[in-house]
Amino acid sequence: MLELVDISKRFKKIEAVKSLNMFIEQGEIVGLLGPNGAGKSTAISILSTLIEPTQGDVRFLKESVIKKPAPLRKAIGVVPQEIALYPQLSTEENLLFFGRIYRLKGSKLKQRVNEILELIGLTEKRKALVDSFSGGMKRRLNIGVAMLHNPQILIMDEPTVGIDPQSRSYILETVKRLNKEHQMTVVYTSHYMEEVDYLCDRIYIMDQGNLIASGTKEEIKQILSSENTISIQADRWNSKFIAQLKGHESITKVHVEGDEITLITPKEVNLFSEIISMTEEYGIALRSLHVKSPTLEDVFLHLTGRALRD
Amino acid sequence: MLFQLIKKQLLLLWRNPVQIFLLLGLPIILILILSIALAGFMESGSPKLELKVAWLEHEDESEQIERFINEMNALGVPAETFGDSEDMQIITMLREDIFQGEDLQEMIELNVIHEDEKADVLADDSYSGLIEVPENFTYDMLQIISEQGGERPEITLHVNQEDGIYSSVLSQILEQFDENLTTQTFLQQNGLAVDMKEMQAAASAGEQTQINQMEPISSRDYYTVAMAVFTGLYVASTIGFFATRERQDQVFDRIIVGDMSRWLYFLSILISGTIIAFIQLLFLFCFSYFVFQVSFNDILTFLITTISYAIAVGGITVLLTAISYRFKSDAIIGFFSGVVTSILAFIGGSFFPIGELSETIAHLGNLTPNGSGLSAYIQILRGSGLEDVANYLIYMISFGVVMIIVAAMSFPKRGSTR
Ligand SMILES: Nc1ncnc2c1ncn2[C@@H]1O[C@H](COP(=O)(O)OP(=O)(O)OP(=O)(O)O)[C@@H](O)[C@H]1O
Ligand SMILES: [Mg+2]
Repeated sequence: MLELVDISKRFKKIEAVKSLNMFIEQGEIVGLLGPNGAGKSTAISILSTLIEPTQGDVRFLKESVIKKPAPLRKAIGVVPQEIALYPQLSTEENLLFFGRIYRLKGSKLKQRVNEILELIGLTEKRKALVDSFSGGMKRRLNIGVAMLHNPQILIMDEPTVGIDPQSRSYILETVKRLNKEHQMTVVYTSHYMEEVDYLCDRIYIMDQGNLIASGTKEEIKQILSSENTISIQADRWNSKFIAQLKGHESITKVHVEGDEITLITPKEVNLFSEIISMTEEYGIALRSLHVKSPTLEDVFLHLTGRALRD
Repeated sequence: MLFQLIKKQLLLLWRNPVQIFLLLGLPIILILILSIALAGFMESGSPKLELKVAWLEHEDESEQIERFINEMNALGVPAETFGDSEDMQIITMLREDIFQGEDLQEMIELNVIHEDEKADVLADDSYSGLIEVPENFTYDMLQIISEQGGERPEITLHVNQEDGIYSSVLSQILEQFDENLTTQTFLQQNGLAVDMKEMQAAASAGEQTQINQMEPISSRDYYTVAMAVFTGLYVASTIGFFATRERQDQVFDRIIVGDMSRWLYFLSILISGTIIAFIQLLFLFCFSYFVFQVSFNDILTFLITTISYAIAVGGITVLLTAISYRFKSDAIIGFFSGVVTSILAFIGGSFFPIGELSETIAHLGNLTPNGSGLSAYIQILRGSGLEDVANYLIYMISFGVVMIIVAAMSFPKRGSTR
């Protein structure tokens, strides 16, 4: 239904997106995953006709929309990465204003505003100024505004950044429900693996402007089928110990995060006994040591040698 | 749609008390402070004249004239040579036809006093001066005119030193009178007929025009206008800030994704700037009308001037917005409100009538939209009509149009606002 064909975007010196191919089918939830600066927002902006690509084409229902964006614009609702609202206006005033921008009027507009308020759980707060809201409430309204005109496709750019766990699961549930009950197509950008893992049917993973993996969750996790992911937990680490792991010929990747070290090794080697004797040698109090089933996080680590966040 | 955008802009301003204060409260405070603090400065430049003058005659004139006519008759010279006795009433003429004549009576309040009141008057600050006609003045003067010799008498003028401009007006009138007497003496001695009355009248009319050109407006008038046009410039940065906020918060993106033309948005900024400036100016002038009694007699010209200036401000608003969108930065708006506005206000005469320092500066001042607006308003306050200020109006509108054109050229095309 919606396609990016060999898209590149250059901002003066930086090539933010490099030959990206992407497609979105009716009724899917597609995840776009990547660390900061990966080019997600740039890709999303091209997809939603906000910026023109330096190269490549955007097609909606097989028609190019680069020069004629109107049909696509009517079909999409965009949730920007920023809280794109007027803080000095109330919930209702924001909804009414953007509703008018989407050319809704009169009783139709009022009705949609009520439905959205219900959907995002802010009916009680309709007269309150957005300025007085918590991060989670703002994020909910940010999403609500994008859905006023009942779009076929909802394009969300990191819609859960910086909010409390309740608001976050509320948003995830809502997105899932809209997809199930109303067959709403969703493009969901995030740097949280869990969100994408939970929501999405298919996933695109980007890093530094490049598409580094794509496919269904299962297909992507298959990438790690020839490798083991080993998790080690202990109270304190010893830098010599880490250096030794990094220098080990059978260990392809080492990632330290807090009290956990993640190692990627080929399936055929078994390092358990060796690791245990190493911890004894350095006096490390081991808490656990086990082989994990691969997560998307691990896939990213495998592909880039870096963790997704930080 | 356009209406929605403008309505939203007004609502945003309404919800922003700090900006409201900056646009409406601050100018009022400034008008108060400056008009009081700089009143003296203004007065020497463009006063509104209202003089209270005391008049003291030590002796009645008619007796002196009678004495003169009798002596002339005794000498065998017919007194008719010097006109009838009414023509000889030099002092009465000065008092009634000049000081209390049509031309000056609006400006001068003349109080005839008695000798015993003299000390009180001299001590009274509300008097700008005391004119003292010595004993025998008319008789002595007639003696001189008729070539009987003697000392030429003089009228004494006591002035209140603090009222610089007032006392100089008084002494100018008296000098003029004195000159006329000299002329009359000369003409008389050469056998030419004169009409002293007419001569004096013509002279004092000249005096009157000269005073009129001295810009009779008060410091309240001046600073009402000066602060209105000065703070009017802040409308541009206020709306500009709102607009760049919309870009930063991706609200503008939202508007574009809603398939609204960027030019409609552009237009909404222009119109909002213009309307808000117009409302602000009306508010300030209404306030000054009721509180400071600053009133424009020609309402229509006043309104057209206000619209013209609002258009200039609207043009600046949309230019600031376009540039901030183009460079993805609000630095230009900060620079405008922090630096450019003050410079424009300074050159445009909003802090003090800088144009009086030199022709060039006055000319330069009129090239700023606010200076041009200030000149137009001041002229209207002085009673000028639409034709007199037309040049300023045309300049302000043209200025606005140029701003709009440059803004349209710099407003980024699709996809380059991020
Ligand atoms: N308008 C722009 N001008 C110049 N460079 C830009 C612009 N927009 C993005 N970039 C650069 O392009 C790269 C990709 O940015 P983008 O915002 O698409 O990343 P992202 O994946 O959305 O990151 P984040 O998770 O931080 O939102 C970054 O290096 C960014 O600095
Ligand atoms: Mg982003």
